[in-house]
Amino acid sequence: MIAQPMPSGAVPEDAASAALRARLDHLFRKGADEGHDGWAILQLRRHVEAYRLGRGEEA
Amino acid sequence: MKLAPEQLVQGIRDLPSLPAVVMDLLGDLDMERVDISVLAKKVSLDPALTAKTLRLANSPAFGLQVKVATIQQAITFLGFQTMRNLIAAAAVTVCFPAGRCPGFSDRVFWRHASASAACARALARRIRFNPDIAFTAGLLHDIGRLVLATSQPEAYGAVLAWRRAHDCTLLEAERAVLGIDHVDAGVALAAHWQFSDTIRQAIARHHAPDTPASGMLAAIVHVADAIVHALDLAGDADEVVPPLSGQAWDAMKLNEEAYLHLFQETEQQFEEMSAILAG
Repeated sequence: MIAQPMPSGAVPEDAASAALRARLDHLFRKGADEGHDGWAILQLRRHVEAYRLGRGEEA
Repeated sequence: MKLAPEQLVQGIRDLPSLPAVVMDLLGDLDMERVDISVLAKKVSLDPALTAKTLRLANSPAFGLQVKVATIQQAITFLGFQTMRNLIAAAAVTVCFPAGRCPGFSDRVFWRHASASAACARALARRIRFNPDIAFTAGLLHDIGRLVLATSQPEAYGAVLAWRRAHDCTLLEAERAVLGIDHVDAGVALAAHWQFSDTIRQAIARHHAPDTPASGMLAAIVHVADAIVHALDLAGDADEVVPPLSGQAWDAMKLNEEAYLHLFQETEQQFEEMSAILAG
């Protein structure tokens, strides 16, 4: 398969980041819709994503 | 396959007993005055307990610059409070025979318990709560799962199968299949083994920290539990982050930078500890 060029200005998402987000989607498949406390779990997810992506960049 | 309370109690009675010295340690967690030299001697009489405790004390989580070879030496370097918790942790792990329940992984269980202990301790330090008590509560918060998997292996195997089929939390599956959950089992074990009120309360409220009078320890364990699930440390393919209380999360009063350091500390500390506890 021939790789298609990215449109000008588009940033290709790194495969590792995509895999990470897919795993986080799986881990956080419950809870975010649990009434008024959903914001806390969304905040936790944001922190975990920032941590994992930050660590990935350092590696 | 509902489980009657009497069946739960009988299952707990059938578990091996904790050594008397360890029951004293867990029961007197809130007390400050204990004769350290007597404790060291009593623990040293049990070679398996001593070996496991010293392996824990020498693990990177406790940051010792020298290897300790005796309980007394470990108390000197780590302090009595920390050692008391390590002795209790080592003792509890040997009471549950592994591999009885289909679908239940002891390795996954101890990875989650160790990471929760490390995370609860790190959280406690940041909010000026007793880190040693938080460590023990983090380690033991899900002990009811081990009670059920060990004492009711077939029924608990059905719980795990139900959970996979319905993609729900473990708590929901336990209530649906058994009519009781690991919190009930943990509280029953805590009563049987005479854990301190502080630890009992943390086990009882770790899924309901907003219940009045639950206390800060339950909030710490609740948040640590969610973080460890979110960091995906246990190695469970079916992992799911449980509901998180906004009140408990707010009570930690940490910003993103603090959480990122906390995550790193948890990851760095739990791995070797879990290998020792599960071994």
